[in-house]
Order: sequence, then C-alpha cells, then structure tokens
Amino acid sequence: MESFSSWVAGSGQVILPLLGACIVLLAWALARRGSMRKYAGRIALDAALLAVGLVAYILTYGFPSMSFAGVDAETVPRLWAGLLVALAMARLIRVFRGKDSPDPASGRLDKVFLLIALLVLKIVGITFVGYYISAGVFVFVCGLLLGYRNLPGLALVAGGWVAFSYFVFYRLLSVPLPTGLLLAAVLGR
Amino acid sequence: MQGLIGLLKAAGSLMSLQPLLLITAGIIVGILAGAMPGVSPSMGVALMVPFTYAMDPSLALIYLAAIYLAANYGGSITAVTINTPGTPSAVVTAFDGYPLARKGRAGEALGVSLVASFVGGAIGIIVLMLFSAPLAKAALKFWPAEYFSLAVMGLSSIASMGGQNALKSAISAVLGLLICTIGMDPILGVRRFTFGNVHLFDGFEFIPVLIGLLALSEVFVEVEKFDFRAESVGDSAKAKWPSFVYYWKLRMSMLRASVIGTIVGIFPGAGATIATFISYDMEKRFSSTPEEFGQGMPEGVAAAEASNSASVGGALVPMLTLGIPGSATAAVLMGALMIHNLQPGPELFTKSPELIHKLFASLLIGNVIMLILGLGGSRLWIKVTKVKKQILFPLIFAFAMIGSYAVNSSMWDVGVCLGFGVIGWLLKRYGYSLPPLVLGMVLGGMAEVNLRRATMMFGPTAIFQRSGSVILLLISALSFAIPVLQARRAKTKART
Repeated sequence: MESFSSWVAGSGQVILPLLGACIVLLAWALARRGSMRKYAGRIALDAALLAVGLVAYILTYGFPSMSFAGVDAETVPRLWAGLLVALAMARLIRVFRGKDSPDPASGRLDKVFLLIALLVLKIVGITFVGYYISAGVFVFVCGLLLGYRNLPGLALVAGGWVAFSYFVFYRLLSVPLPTGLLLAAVLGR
Repeated sequence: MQGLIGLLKAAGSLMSLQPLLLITAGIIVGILAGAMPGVSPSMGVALMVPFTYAMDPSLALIYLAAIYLAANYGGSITAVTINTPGTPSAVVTAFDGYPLARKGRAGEALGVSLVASFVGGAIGIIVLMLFSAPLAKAALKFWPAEYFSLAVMGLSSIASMGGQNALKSAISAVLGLLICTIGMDPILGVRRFTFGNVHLFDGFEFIPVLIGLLALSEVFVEVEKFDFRAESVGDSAKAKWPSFVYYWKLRMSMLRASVIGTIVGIFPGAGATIATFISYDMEKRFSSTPEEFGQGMPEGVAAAEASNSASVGGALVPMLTLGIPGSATAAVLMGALMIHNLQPGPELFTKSPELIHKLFASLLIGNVIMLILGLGGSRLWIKVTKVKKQILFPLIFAFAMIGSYAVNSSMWDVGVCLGFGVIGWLLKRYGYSLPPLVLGMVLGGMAEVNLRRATMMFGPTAIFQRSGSVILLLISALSFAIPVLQARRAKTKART
C-alpha cells in the first residue's frame, strides 16, 4: 500500500491524468464508430467527468498521511470524487440505454475554436508584446472573426478599449498591466 | 431601535457625492447589463468586480449591490420592447409585456414593469432589513454540525436550479465541491491536487473562475450559434406612460407578487426565475379573465417584475446572515465580499454592523434612483440593444481577461478564466446547469471545514447528534426531493 501511495504521489501525478485523457478519447472514438454515434459528445463528456472522479479518487491515496482527532485530509475529497464517479456512471447508463436526447446540433464550432486559439494567442502575446498591443490587436481581430466588417469602426473600438484599460485599470486602479518582454527590452526596463 | 438609528446614520453617510455617484453608476451599469441579451446579472456583477479592488469595502459592496438590484429590472426592457429577455428572470415579463408593446402600449408595459420593480424591490429590501438581524442572531448559536447541515441545505437547492434534470445538476454541484478541495487543506495544511504547481496551493481564485464560467461560456455559446442579427425597437417605445391611478389599480398584483418573490428569493438557489413563474401563475388564478394572460395583461407584467425585483432582497437574506447565496448573482457578490476580506455570515452583523446598515440604506436609495433613472432614461436604455454583438463580444472577452488579471496581477488567473470558460461552454452545450457548480464551489469550503470540525468534536456521527442539524438535514432532503418528484410527475403527465 505504501509503495502504491508513493507511486501516486510521484509519477502517478502525470500518468493518472494522462490515463484519464486516454479513457475519454477512447470512449469518444468508440462511440463515433458504433451505433452510439449520435451520443458521442455526451458520452465523451460524461466519460470525462467519470475520469475526473476516478483520477481524483486515486490521487487522494498520494496525500501525505496525516490525521488529527480521527479526521484526515483525504476523506472529503474522496467523498466528492466517489460521488462524482457514481453520478457520472448513472449518466452514462442513461445515455447507453437511449434515455437521453442525442448530441445538440453543431453550430459554428470552427469560430469557437478559432476564438479560443485567439484568446490563447492573446495570453501568450501579453508576455512578449505586452498588454496594450495584444489587447488592441485582439479586439480588432476578434471583431473581424465575428464578421464585423466596418474596419475604421473596429479600429476605433480597439483603440478605445486600450485607452480605457490604460486610464481605468493602470492609472485609476493601479493594476500593473504587463509591458511585455519585447517592449521591456526596447525600453531597457 | 438601535438598528433604525444605525440605518439612519448610514443613510446620512451615503448622502455625499461619492456614494451617490457610485450607486447611480451601479444602477446604470445594472440596467445596461440586464438589458443586454447575453449578459446576465451575475455576469454583469462579475465583470464589474475588478473595478472595486481599490475601493473601500463598503463602497464596493454598495456599488455591486446596486448593479444586482438594477440588472433584474434591466432585463425587462428588452423583454417588453423586442421580446428578448435580457435576463432569464425577465422571460415571464415578456409573456404579456411584448404583446402590450405590439398593441402600441409599450409605454404602459415599460411603466408597469418599472413601478412594479420599484415596489417589489422596496418590499424585498424591507424584509431583508427586518429579518436578517434576528436570523443572524440565531445563526450565531450554531455549532459546526449545524453549519455543515446548512451547507447541505444550500446544496439541496440544486434540485430546483437544474430544472428537470436533477442528475446533471447534482454532477455540476459535486464537480464544484471537488474543485473546492484543490489546494491546501484548511485544517491540516496538506497539499491536495496541486501537482506541485505553486499557483494551486491556495486553490483556484474565485473571480477568474466565475468570470470564465458565467461570462466566457455564455459568449462561446452565442458564437457557436453565430446569429448576430440585431433586433430593432419600433416607435412603440415612444408610447405614453400611464398615470398614478393606473398603477394604483395594480397595487394588489404588485403586493402579492412582491411577497412571493421575497419568500422564494430567501430559499437558496430558488432564484428570481422561479419566483416570477410562481407569481405569474398565482396572478392568473386570482384574475377574473385568466384567458387574457399572455395576450397583454398589465397584471402579468406587474406580477413578473414585482416578484423578480423582490427576490433580490430575499436572496441577500441567506447570503448575509448564513453565508449561503440565494442566487447565482448573490454567489458572485459573496465572492466579491470575500476578496475584500469580508466573510458573509452572522459574524458580519456583529463585526461590521455599519457595513450592513450602509448596504440596506444604499439599496433603498438605489431603488429610488432606479425609479428616477427608469422614468427618465427608458428610451436611452433601449439603445443598448442596438450594440452589435460583434462589438460587444470582443469587449466582454477583453473585460474578462483584464478582470481576471487584476485579481492578483497574474497571467495564471487569465489562463484559469479561459480554461473555466471552455469547461463551462462544454457543460452548457450538453445541458449541464452552471449555477450548481458555482454553488458547489461557494459552499464546498464551508461544508468541509464544518464537517471535519464537527467530527473532531463529537465523532463520525456528529451531524446526527444535534437536533438543529438533524432538522436542517431533513429540510434539505425535502427541498431536494420535492422539485425532483414534481418534475417526474410533470413528465409522466406530459407522456399520458
């Protein structure tokens, strides 16, 4: 048991979440091929919830064993994780019995994923080019992505946002908005 | 008597430029947020929290509470004028408000919704003032076992939050509870689920998570729909506003709905939407012409709006006295209070009574300001609906990002906000309700700490050893079971 605990506390921290992700991918792939194709999204999501519960439950065995007056740190997380496993299983059973509605029709998923990618780029961009440039570019590109074609208007909104965030957040609220590695190097800060 | 003196003192202290300006700003922001479809009251409050970081805690609370108060009214403007409720709780207002507007009586519908909001809001606030202090006194006698059971009672409200799908709501809530255990254990200091990441030692920061779950997820849902056609408001909004006599005739509808709204609002998780449906249904039963409901009955608008606004005061009662938010917006408000090192609960009444008095007084003043602004600016509010979503959404993203960053000046929090935005979108996409998740995260800490304290004091059966705790657990079981059974019965009826 002790060796299991030390494994969970060590390499298990990486392997277990990866294993959970594999279970989700496998469930999704199998569902898409078989007769449950219409429910593939639901199955993947419920499998993900099940995996979260299972992984969390196992990870509690890696907590340092400490107890005070009969109470330890793993009881409550284990309780919630166990409950999540049970409830996610109940959901999966419902889906496999066909008692649930099929997956919702997909809308413009491409736009959503592009938007998420844009947001990730913005977060990365802040580190390099700073908040002001990346925020201005983000508002402009995001508007374009959503189909707004009035470019001068969009540029005005982006510029307005940058000015607003500078005056309200930086000057008024004293939030130290990042200047970025690039700008810091140029300005010699 | 002491409370009244405190209230009068607080009202006096608010009669200066800064607090009045803040209340007015909060009311304007709230009305605009409520009027914008896709921006819920909870989202409006969450987005404004970063602006309060540098404020005095009492001013921050006053500002955010004003937004909450006004957002519920704001939702009715678009419900009446373009049949697009700005908030979920304004859905019922649209039932009769929009038909009235189509008949060229939009001024009448807007007037009734404003005055009913004012009356409902005032009654809700009075109930909050009358009952919160005695409730807080009673709560001070609670032991950890009772507090744990209280948290369970709060969680039991997920049954009504999730509508017909209690299982999904339960999963959402348990996920919230599990997320709450990430970070340092509150009693022994053991690191849990931190994966060696220092950012996780204190768990997730509440505000970025909330902004991600409530604001970003909603925008992702809208982007997936990709329907950005603007709805236009016709000239009907210019129609004449009713007289005092007209409102007087609706007094009983407003009163009944206000009482229902306040009571329903007090129950954690029940919220404004349920309150409006119950009040509307009740009004229909009282009416001599129930068949005309849905075709433009002012009583329908009055009932929906009065209960909607009254639920605000009601929802603040459990939040302030017991530390249990009565609605998703109250949960956000509670998170904001925690950021300012104020722990809602009975101790708030003993440690910071002046803060409570200021809040009560500001709500009363805010309600009057809302009435004045509503009368003067109705045509202006409607223009909010003309803001193109292609402009609105990038700004919401920008707000969300800077708001999350401003909590700790940390890019980690921005990533957390985005991560929870994606999780929220996926959950919403497959019919999982997000308010139970928020509730789980809000109540998780309270439930765990008190369960463990109770167990340390009286052993594993601690929560069944005190009568107060057992009563609360029984109420929790009932409040979970009743909506589930009702939903099942409705389903069976629909099938037959």
